[in-house]
Amino acid sequence: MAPGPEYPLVRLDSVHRAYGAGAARFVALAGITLEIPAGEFVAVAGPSGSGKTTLLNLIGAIDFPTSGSVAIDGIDLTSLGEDRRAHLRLHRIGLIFQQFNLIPVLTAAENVEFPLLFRGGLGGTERRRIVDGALERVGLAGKRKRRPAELSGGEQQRVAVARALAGSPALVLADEPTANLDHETGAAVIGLMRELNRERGVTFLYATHDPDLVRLAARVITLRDGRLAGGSA
Amino acid sequence: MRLFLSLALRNVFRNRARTAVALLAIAAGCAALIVNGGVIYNIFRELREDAIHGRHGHIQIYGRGYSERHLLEPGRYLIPRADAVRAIAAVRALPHVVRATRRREFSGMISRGDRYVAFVGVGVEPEEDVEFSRHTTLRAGRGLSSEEPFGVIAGLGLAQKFGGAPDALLTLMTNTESGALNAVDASLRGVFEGGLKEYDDWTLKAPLPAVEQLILDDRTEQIVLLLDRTESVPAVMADLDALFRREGLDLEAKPWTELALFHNQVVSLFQRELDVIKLIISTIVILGIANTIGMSIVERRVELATLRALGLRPRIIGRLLMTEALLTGLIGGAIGVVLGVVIARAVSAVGIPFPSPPGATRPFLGGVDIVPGIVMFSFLLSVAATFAAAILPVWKAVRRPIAEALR
Repeated sequence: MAPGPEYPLVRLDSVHRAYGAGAARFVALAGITLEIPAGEFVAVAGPSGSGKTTLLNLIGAIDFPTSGSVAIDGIDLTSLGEDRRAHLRLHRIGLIFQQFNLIPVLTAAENVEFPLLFRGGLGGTERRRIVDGALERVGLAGKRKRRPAELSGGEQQRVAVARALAGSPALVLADEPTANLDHETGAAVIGLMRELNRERGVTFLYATHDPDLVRLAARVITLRDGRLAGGSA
Repeated sequence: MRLFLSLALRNVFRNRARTAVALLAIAAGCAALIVNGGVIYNIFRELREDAIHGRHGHIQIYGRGYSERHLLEPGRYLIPRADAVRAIAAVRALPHVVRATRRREFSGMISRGDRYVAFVGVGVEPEEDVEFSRHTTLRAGRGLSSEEPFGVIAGLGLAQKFGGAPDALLTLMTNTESGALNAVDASLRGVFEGGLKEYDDWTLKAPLPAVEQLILDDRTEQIVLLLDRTESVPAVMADLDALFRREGLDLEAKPWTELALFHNQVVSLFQRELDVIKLIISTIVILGIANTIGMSIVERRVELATLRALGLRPRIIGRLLMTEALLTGLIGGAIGVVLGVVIARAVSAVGIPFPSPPGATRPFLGGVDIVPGIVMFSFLLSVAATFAAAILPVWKAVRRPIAEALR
């Protein structure tokens, strides 16, 4: 699964995604073709129901297109079995969720460390170094032993950012990462992501419908009714 | 994998009320198995001790071939007196052997007044027989004594048949081996209850000297052994085999398990009952726990999908959930063991008044034995049932599409 330099990091080719059947059939994405080179900082904009989450799910290898292909590093995700898709997510993709999705019974540090347990080749000392570095980078070094319930929403999302980055992914997908935060905190989280993009060259793709946060992106992909609006890709 | 186990353990206690209900269900099932098994084992033990100390001893020794053919040729397999004395001396020197005594069975008629009643007689050595009759209850009068060679004791049912009370005078009649009719006068010293109705209805015990005078034969039919513990039977059986060959004794030995047919039938019957109870309790635990685990998994749908989205393979999620089930089973089973042992001790302290078992004559005060094998089995069954209960909900959870579960 070594990245091929001749391929863009992400490539979607005529991707359709529909749910249900018959009269209940709902088309979430209709013929999306786009490329995202490595190192970009991209916002996916659009109103609710426009297909932003579906697009991120397909790129994140947690959903399958009804037709078309989704490739990461030139590897067609639809051709991979569940174990190889899991391997890809673990090693190449970081995910940030709207609801933070931290494990409530684990501390901040343990939440960041847990996925690293399954990467292989990382000893306890190395994992601790990575976790401490990630938490320090998001400004939560002093709260490593706090459980999610003991953190504010902004802090929880920063833990989620640390968790997404701890595995040194090539691509971080953030689905409405600021939707549950106040405007100022949301902007700070996006700002943090932008800094990490610049520092580490990690590609960020975040969905939002907040015009102020869209403006922070280097590139904007706008969706409307499951289609690219104005040929923004 | 300390963090993995720690997460599993923390997840077990995440919803404390629900976990408490689950643990209670497992513990109750485990305790029920321990108590039920303990009650049945207590009954087994009562029957076993009745059989050993009331009738058969731990081991009986006969002339070789007796077991197979003595009904066809009653006189052929009797042990000459000198051989019997030599065998007893050798057997008493073996480890675990506490007592060894001679017995001679015969049959005949009791005559008392105008009544004639058939009986099965057992000639015993009175002083030795006391230890072999610990589970025989004297209902009236006195036990056998070598000081009164013609003083006999009769089973309760037999005594009722000839209307005998202590000190009643009887005439015992039998045929000798040559076919001659012989009789002796005896007095009834006491009336006993051996625990088995059939035994009490027919059995008369008499000192061996009186029996030998009645049947005109001093040969021994069986040498009966009492050991320090019932568990010593296999070891002593092996020693006896070697002893007979070494001493050139043409004898054979049978353990009580091959003689106590009534005990074996009851044990077989109750064992089936115990198996059915195990199945029922396991099913109840599985159904109860499956529901609890299912609810827990449904509530954690998003969290489990998140872990998969982060790159954990389905089998790792499955391993996490099964580890949680295993921990739940281990904790519930451990509580069940403590609960079961406490209940067993409390019930045993009070006692359970049992009616007499089928075919037996005496009610008895039972208890709940704490049997290590049953305790261990109950614990493992509880853990296994909990583990089994988790399989289907976990299988469903790890197969659910991630994107659907995250919605």
